Amino acid sequence: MKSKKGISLDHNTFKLIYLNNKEKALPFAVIVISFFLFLFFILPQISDFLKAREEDVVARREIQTLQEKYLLLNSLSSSDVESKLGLTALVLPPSKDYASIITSLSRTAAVSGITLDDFSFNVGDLSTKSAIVSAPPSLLINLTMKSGLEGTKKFTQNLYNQIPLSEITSIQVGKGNSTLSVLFYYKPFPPLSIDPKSAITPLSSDSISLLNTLYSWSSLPSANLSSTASAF
Amino acid sequence: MNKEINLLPSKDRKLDREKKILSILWIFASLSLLIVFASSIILFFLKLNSPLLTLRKKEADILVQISQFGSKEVQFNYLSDRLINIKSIIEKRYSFNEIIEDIIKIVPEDVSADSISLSRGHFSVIFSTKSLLAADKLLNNAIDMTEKKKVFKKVGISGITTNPKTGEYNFSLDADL
Repeated sequence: MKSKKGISLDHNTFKLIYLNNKEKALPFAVIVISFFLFLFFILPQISDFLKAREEDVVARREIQTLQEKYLLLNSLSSSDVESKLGLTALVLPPSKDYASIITSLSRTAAVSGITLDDFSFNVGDLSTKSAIVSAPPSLLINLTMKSGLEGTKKFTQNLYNQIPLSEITSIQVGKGNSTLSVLFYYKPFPPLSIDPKSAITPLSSDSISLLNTLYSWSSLPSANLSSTASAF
Repeated sequence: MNKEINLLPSKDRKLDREKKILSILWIFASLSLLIVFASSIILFFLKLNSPLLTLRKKEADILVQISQFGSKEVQFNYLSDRLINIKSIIEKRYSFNEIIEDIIKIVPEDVSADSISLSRGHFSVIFSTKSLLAADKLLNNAIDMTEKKKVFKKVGISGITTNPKTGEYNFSLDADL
C-alpha cells in the first residue's frame, strides 16, 4: 500500500535544489538580470530615442517655417507695409471717423450730380442691422438728398466705390427727394499677441487685387496713407 | 558479463543531458549579455549624434533674426486681418442697384412712381397713372419680371384708388425679394 508523499518546503529542500542545480544558477541569473536591464533601461532609452527623432522632425519643420517667415519679412518694405495698412485703415477706420464719412458723402453727391440736404448720425445702439451676420461695428447715417430714382441709383452705385466702407440698408424715394439709411463700418485694431514661431503667409493675389481696387477708390496721395498707419 | 544490464549508460545519458542544458543556458546568457551591451553602445552613440541640440540652436538664432522685424510683423498681421474684413464686407453687403434697375424697367412712360420704399428683402412702390392701360402694362411687366428673372418672389397690389378730379389712378405694388 502506497503512502501519500507530501512536499515540505523548508530550508533543506531549497539547499538540495541549489546543490543539484548550482552550475546552472549563474547563467540563469545572467539571463534574468539581462532581461530586467533590457526591460527597465534599454527599452526606455529606445523610447526616448524615438521621441527625440520625432522632435527632430518637428524642429526641422519649425525651422523651415521660421526661415520662410524671415525671408518674407526681410523682403517686405516697411514703408510699403505701412502705406498699405494706412490705406486699409482709411477704408475700414479703427474708430468712428465723422470727417471721412462727411467727405465720402459729399464726394459721392458731387460725382453723382445731386445735392445733399440733411444728414444725421445715430450714435449708440443701432436699430438697423447690416445684412452681414458677423459684420464689424458701424455708424448709422440717415441722409436726404434732392434726387429721383435715377439720381439715387447713381448715388448708391458711387457710394459703394468710396471709402470708408458703407452699406445702404434702406431707400425711400419721393418726388424729387430721397432718404437713405447708410451704415459706415469701422473696426478697432484688436490687441495682437504675436507668437514668434507662428507662420505668416504672403498676401494672396486676391488680396493684392483688392488693394489695387481700394487704391483706385482712394483719392488721397500715398504720403497721407503712411501717417494714418503709424497713428496706432 | 551480461551486457543488457548496465546502469552506467543511463547515468551517462543523464550527465550528457545536463551538460547540454548547461551549455544552452550559457549560450543564452552570453547572447543576452551581448544584446544588452550592444544596445547600450548603439543607443549611446545614436544619442551622442542626435542633431536636436543643433536644430534648437539654429531655431533660436532665426528667432533672434526675426525679432528685429517686430513692428513690421505686427503691421503685416494687422494688414492681413484688415483685408480679410474688408473683403468680407464688400462681398456680403447688400446692393439695391439691380432692384432699382428692374423697377425702372417695369415702369411704362405713362406711369409715375410717386413713392418708392426699398429695404433688404422688400420693396413697395406707389404709382399713379391716368391710363388703365399703362397700369395694366406695368402689372404685366412686373409679372414677367417675376417669372423670368425670379428677382421678385411675391408681388401684390393694394390700395387702388381713383381721383375723380385729376382722373388719376393710384395703386401700391409690394414685392418680396
